Formats: sequence, structure tokens, C-alpha cells
Amino acid sequence: MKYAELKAIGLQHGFKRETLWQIDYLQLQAGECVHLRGENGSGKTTLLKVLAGLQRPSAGQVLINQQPVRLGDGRCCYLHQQPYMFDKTVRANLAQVLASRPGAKHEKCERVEQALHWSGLSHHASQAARTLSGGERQALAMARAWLCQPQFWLLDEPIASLDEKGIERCVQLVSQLRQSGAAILMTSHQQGALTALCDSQWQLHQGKLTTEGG
Amino acid sequence: MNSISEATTAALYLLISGDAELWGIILVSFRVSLSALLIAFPFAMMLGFVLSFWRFPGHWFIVTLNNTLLAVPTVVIGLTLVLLFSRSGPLGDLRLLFTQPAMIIGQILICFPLLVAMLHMAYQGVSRHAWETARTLGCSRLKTLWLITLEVRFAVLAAAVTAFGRIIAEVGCAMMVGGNIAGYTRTITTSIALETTKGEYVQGIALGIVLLLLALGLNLLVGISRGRSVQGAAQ
Repeated sequence: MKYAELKAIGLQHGFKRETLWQIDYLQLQAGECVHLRGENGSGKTTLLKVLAGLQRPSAGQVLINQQPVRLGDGRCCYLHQQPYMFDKTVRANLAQVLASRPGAKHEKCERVEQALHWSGLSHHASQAARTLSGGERQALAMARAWLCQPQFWLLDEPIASLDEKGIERCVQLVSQLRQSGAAILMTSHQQGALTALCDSQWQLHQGKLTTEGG
Repeated sequence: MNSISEATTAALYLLISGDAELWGIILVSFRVSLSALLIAFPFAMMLGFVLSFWRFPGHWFIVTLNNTLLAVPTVVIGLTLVLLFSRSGPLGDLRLLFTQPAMIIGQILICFPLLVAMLHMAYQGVSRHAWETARTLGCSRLKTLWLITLEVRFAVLAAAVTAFGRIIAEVGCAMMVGGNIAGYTRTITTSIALETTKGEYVQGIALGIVLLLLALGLNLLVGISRGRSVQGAAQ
């Protein structure tokens, strides 16, 4: 994966007149895997959404490769704690990601099959996505994002409320992303195999972000 | 009682025999109402979507205004259009009064608030995560609107059917702005009203049967597609 950099400068966010957090500078580079920690309500999810361009900050800006983050360009993917499954089959959930992108139909079909294989969901391809287990849903959400080839992955509590098998599957996928050189920023309250993949930790506490090496 | 059954039999015969005047009236009704629905629907869809997924200054006012417009009687809409389109009115130069375009405008005004209210409710049933997921996966705003509309397709279909049922069955506005001109602006409902005042019930009953069959057909359509969806989800 080519060099990529996500930067946030003078970032501030709040509701009404109350500031939730204020971050002077933040940088995430290709190949980095960071564990974002913080208490419930500290604003981790909001921070991830702001970095992904899903929410506007009260002040400051987020830059990807020196350009302002633009929602919809697929460079930065945010994955929910409980992924939304469209009312379609697993395969159709994946195919819709590529539907409006350029490319031949057979190439798109091939990419969808690769995504199914990558996520280990080949056996569930024709199953309704809403009938998948929690772990499988998370895997499908990651496979959808994988099709976009984002440079930055923002994972919001990816293993919360997953059983052991689900956690194992998720760790395996994140590990593959690590190997591909993608930049990953994840939140998780559970310390374990997933957080062990991270090479540094960021702590969001009382509205301030502190960083520490892994 | 006898006269009712005789009139109904005659009405059925009129329908089956393909009476040109009767089917002409039905055609005008469908043309006007479908045009109004097709024009109003995309705008109502976008407004319903925006009201469901965005909060902005004046949001509550638009919702309140729309809910108020739901309660406006069709004759009041007709009266407003007559005042606007009459020769001495501000839009009199357009010469729209007693034309099909005027009827279409009237029906748009009648069905738009209903569509917005129903679509707003339908979109509110979709998690905001759906919008965020589609956008973060690189979908444009328009594509996201389409994806989310597919998620609530049966509610959207129900909104379209309800709105169509409302405008094809309304009489006040159509009568006032259309003028009930035979072969041009005479619709099912205005014709029923006219024929009844003349004591001619046969055509009125025939057109009433058409309206009932239409309502049954549309509801069956919604029911069948909803049933298929439930069946699909269960598999």
C-alpha cells in the first residue's frame, strides 16, 4: 500500500457550548495500528466519525494526504460497533459497494467472490445478511469496506458483544489488514488478541488526547 | 332495490361493452392522477429523506406546516388555484384554468403533503447507521437515498398507493379547476357527481366500480409484495 497520512489539526468538537474534546494535533500513517482508549462517553465514537468525515467538527480540520477529508471518496472507512446490514443477501451487500463504480461486470463479480473468500463468508453468500451472527456481520462489514480499498480503517468496538469465535475471526481479518499495510484506528474496551495487534495507544481522557508507544 | 340491481347490471354492461365515453373518462382520470403522482413523488421523497436524516433550523416548522397542509380540504386548494389562474388572477395569463395541467397542479398540491408525511415516517424507521454505512462505503448522496429507499420499499410503495388513491378519488379541486369538460377534464369523480345530480346512476355506478376495483388492485399489489418480502426474510 502506498504512503498515506491522516492528520487532524486544531480539532475540537462539542455539543451546544460544552466541549467534548479538543485535539491540537493527531497523525495516523499507513501501516500504523492504533488502539484508541477512553471511558464511555469520552467521545471516541465521535472522534472516529469526525475523522471519517461523517460528522463535522466544531473547529479544525482533518486532512488525508494534505487534502480535506471528503465523505464518500472511500479513502477512509468507518465501521460501526453494530454494523448495518442492508436487507439483501451477503453477496448483494458486497455487490452494491461496487455497483456505481467503474469496471466490467465480470471483474466486479470476481472482486465480490474475493471479498467473500477474504472474509470467510463464501458459505453464507446466498444467505440474508440480517440472519448472520454478530461475528459474521462484523466480517461482512469489513468485507464491504475491503472492496473500497480504503487507506484508513476506523473500527468502532469491533469485538464488543462477540463470542470467542467471532473475536477470533475479527482478529484474523484485522491481522490481514495489518499485513496489507493499511492504517487502522480502533476503539475497544477489551484487552486481548485484537489490541495486541496495535503498535501504539491513544488515550482520550477529559477531552484531551494523549499518545503512547506500544 | 330493483332499480339498484338493474342500474348495477347496466353499469357492468357499460364497462364490459367498452363504452368510449366511459373509458375516456377513466383514461383522463388516470392520466391526470398518474402525472401528478410522478411529478410530486421524487420531490416528496427527497424532502421526506432530508427531514428524517438531517436536523436544521426550521426543521420543526416544515414538519408542522406539512402536517397542517394534510388537513386542508381539497376545495380550499381548488379555490386557491381558481383565484390564481382566473383571468384577473396573478397567473391568469397562463390560461391554465379548466385545463388538465391545472388539475395536475391541484392534485400535486393535494398529494405532496401526504407523500412527505408517509415517506418521512418510512425513512425514520431506518437506522442512521444505514446512511453512514452507505456514505462511508463511497456511495454518493443520491445513491444513498436510493439504497435507503430500497430498505423501506414497501412503505414507499404504500405511500404511493395511498397518495394515488387520494387524488384519483378527490372531487372538489378537480371540479373547480377542471370544470368537468366532457372528453377533456371530466374525471371519474366529477362525472359521478354530475351524473348523480342528473339522476343518471348507471355511469356513476360503473365508474364507482372502477374506483373500487382500482383500490382493491392497488392494495393487493402492496399485500402481495409485502407477503413475498416476509416470505423471503423467513427463508
